[in-house]
Amino acid sequence: MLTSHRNAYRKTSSDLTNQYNLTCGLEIHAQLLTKEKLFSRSETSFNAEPNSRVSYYDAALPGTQPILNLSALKLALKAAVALDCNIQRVSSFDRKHYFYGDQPAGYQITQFYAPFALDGRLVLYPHDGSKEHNIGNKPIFIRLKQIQLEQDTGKSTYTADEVSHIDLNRTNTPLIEIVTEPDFSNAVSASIFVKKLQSLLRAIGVCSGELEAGAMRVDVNVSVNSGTRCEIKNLFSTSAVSGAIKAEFERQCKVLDRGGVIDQETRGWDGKNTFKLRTKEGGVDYKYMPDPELEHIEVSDEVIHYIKSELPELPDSTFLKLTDPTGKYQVSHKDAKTLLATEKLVDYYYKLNEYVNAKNDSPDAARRTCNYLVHDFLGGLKKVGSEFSPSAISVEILGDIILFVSDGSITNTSGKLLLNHVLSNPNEMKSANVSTLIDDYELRKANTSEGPEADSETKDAIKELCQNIIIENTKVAETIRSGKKPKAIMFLVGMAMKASQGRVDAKVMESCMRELLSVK
Amino acid sequence: MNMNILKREAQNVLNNIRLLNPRTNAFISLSPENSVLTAVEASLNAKVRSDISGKLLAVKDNFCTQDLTTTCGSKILESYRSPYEAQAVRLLKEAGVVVVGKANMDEFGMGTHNVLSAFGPVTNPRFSDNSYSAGGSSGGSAAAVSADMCHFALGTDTGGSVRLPGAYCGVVGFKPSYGLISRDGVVAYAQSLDTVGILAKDVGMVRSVFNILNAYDPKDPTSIQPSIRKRLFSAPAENEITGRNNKKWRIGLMTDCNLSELSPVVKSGWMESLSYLHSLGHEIVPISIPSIRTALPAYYIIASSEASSNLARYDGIRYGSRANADRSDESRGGPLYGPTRQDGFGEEVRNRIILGNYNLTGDSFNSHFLKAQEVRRKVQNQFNEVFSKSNILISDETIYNAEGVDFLVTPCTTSTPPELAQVNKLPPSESYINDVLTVPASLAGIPAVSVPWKVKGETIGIQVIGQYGDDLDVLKIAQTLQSRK
Repeated sequence: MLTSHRNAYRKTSSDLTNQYNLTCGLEIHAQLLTKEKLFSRSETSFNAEPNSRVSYYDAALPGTQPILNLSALKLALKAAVALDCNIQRVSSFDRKHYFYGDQPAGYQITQFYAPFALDGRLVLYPHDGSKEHNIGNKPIFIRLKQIQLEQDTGKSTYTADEVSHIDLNRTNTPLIEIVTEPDFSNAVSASIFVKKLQSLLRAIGVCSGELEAGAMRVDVNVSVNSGTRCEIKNLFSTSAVSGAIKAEFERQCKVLDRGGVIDQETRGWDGKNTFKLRTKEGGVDYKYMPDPELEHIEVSDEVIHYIKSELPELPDSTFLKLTDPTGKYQVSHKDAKTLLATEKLVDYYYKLNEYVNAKNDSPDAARRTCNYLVHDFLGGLKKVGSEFSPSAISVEILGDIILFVSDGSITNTSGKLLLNHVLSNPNEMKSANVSTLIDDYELRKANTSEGPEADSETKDAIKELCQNIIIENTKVAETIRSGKKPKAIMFLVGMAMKASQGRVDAKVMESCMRELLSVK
Repeated sequence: MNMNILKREAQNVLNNIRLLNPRTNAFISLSPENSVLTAVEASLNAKVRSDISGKLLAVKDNFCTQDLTTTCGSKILESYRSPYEAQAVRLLKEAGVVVVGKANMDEFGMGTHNVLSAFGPVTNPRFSDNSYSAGGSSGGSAAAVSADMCHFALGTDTGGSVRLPGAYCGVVGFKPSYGLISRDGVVAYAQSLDTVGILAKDVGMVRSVFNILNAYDPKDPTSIQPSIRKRLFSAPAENEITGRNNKKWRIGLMTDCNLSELSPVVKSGWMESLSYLHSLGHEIVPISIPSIRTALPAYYIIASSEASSNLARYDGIRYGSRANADRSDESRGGPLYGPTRQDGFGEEVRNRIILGNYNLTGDSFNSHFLKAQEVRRKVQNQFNEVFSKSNILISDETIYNAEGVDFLVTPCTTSTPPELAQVNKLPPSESYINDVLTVPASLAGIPAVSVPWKVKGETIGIQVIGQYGDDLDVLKIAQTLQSRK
């Protein structure tokens, strides 16, 4: 087992832990997004009626045989290629035996002796962390020992009447198990790893990455100063991952400090502490046996080449491309992370940017487009309580709003009004024309610019409006004139903006107001 | 064929069953007579035209059938009814074959005398006093064929389970090359060895059945791919029916079979069969497969290991019988499903599960299981080295012997059928020796057939073994032997 003394764990409040090094490795199960199961033609499902997606094979009826689903193999290979693994030319399946109600055949088919992928890695960069969870300023290389393709089990639930219920819908759902080397020297990097893996698998369409729903499940192995390790099973969130590692580390430190011995155990996590499930020594011998009827998997160079060519741009390269300070986009790190965090948002951004760029090629257009997308658009979505989907608003509509705002046809405020209107009425806006909408709602900015084209009629109208506001708010106006509350002028500007429905620039309104009140 | 003849034949078979099944116990369950007769009439409209339309079939009770129970001779599947039909049964039904009943067997195929069935032992119909072994594990199938309680039967052969009862009951028992006939719906004993076998009174019938069943099935992961089948079977077999053809074969006399355990009558029958072939102009060449001595223990390690895994699914939860103790709190704290499995499996099955588990546990995986696989490869290599043809399944086509033989001819059993009283006294390890002559072909996955041979007033089985895929030629030699006047 590898211990990193250089990265000694120093983050806990306890002084005690300073003399101890944490070593941690992860085992992650990820359900593959296939239509059908790993060795049968029944559908994979989530929350379907119990036992409604069960083939004769899934129920382990006598005489049934496994037939490998090649789509599952394809997704597994995709993950392995994206994780830089050494794809094995020949791999094979083994049976892992144990009796349990939700394990109908009495064994699980997995890859024990010859997994299909070995020696991968995933690099954690400083930008993968956040202010609260950072990994320092150097990348961390997490080595992957192996990835194996295997079957999921069914589900057991227990009701108050002491009856155990078995649902075989999940039985034989394809999984990959990703096993890391013990390369984590703190809990934060482990939870950042899990997050990063989630978004990577999501981005390449291999797994939904949902931890809470059980589509991805994490077990951690924790040891202190290269001692005996304990496994903590079934961590259902990234905070559970870091919480459990911290708690287990502290527990082991305390035991060692008392002169105690760590027993090899499988432990659970109750949200605060880890607790013993069973000791490993008295554990089960799984009696692994090569499956006697499944063919070996043979993967040729051509297949690996094909899988590579099919792979979309990986999040790490996307991030570099978006944030390259001399590149096309020059997006801030924070915005790039936001783009990557939402499924299909990066693609949407590329399209949006292309659309805007075709009509406005100013050097900072890409960055501003991103800004608008991340802040105004995503913020607006949040306000109306919906989530991003590429079909929510067409690239053309959002692009036009951005263009009209940036060329000054409408004010920023009007832009927001328009955006909110479009977001709140998604259905009628499918075929809307932004220019028409602007006219319909009389949002076109009043022409108040200086110069020959200045519109004196508009200027007069603004002046009149401001005067009315001052008359309606005499007391406020007085405190401004007397210099008691100079900042109150913004209140009057706000009233005037409201009255003009945002069609006038706030700056124009303010200068008019100052003129009328004779203040600078 | 004329419908009246078919119906008369069917009626005869049904009469024989009524008369002889109570004595031989060949069947575990029977199709109703009227439905058999109706099906014979309907066979005129069979989807596939064939020379076996309207014939009656006995199916070993480890093939899944929708109409009758599929018990595998076990209490644990006492009343189990499959929701689907085995591919082999389906193909035969499409060809107008009618299932007459499900044949008795040693529990899950584990046994050589068919005394280890939850439904009672099968007795050999060739002996009127009910006291002789019919052989196993496909004992019911062989007895049914022997006593004309069907026209042919399906069995399964894992280490000799079709050939040995065929030899004891005086009928032809054929184990084709591994992977040619679909195992879909055949309850697994040891999948790396299990093959569907065919039993009938004459080789011609066996060949007709084989021609229907020899087809690729995507539902069976071990089914041989169409491309390989094409290479094996596209050339028309010469002189198909005559038996006495002009081709002169080189026939191997496997010296390793001259075991001390061979009874004198078997030995002289074997020598006679070789002399007969020699008299027809075929060349007899002594050869040796030295590893057959270690083949038997290797076989029992592999088969029991796979069986312990395959039989793990019988827990009484989804189907099959379940012990009352497992329904209540009584068995809490004990091994999961212990009572159900203790109660549902017979002693020999439990022994082999324990043996198999032992072979897979801890260090014995290396010292037993992997060692047995090594022996298995050695057996395969040694067969490849004596045959004149290379094995189509191995990539190295240089492994063959230009001076080698086309077939091997060996005895099928060490003796004529023993008395049941004697069988029941034997410890299991001693009855395992029965398989010594049949196991090598199973380990190698190559075709082998047992054909009845009369010698000194007794009938023994002569075994013909060929290279992988040479099934039709193996049957041809069998036919030559059977047609001795």
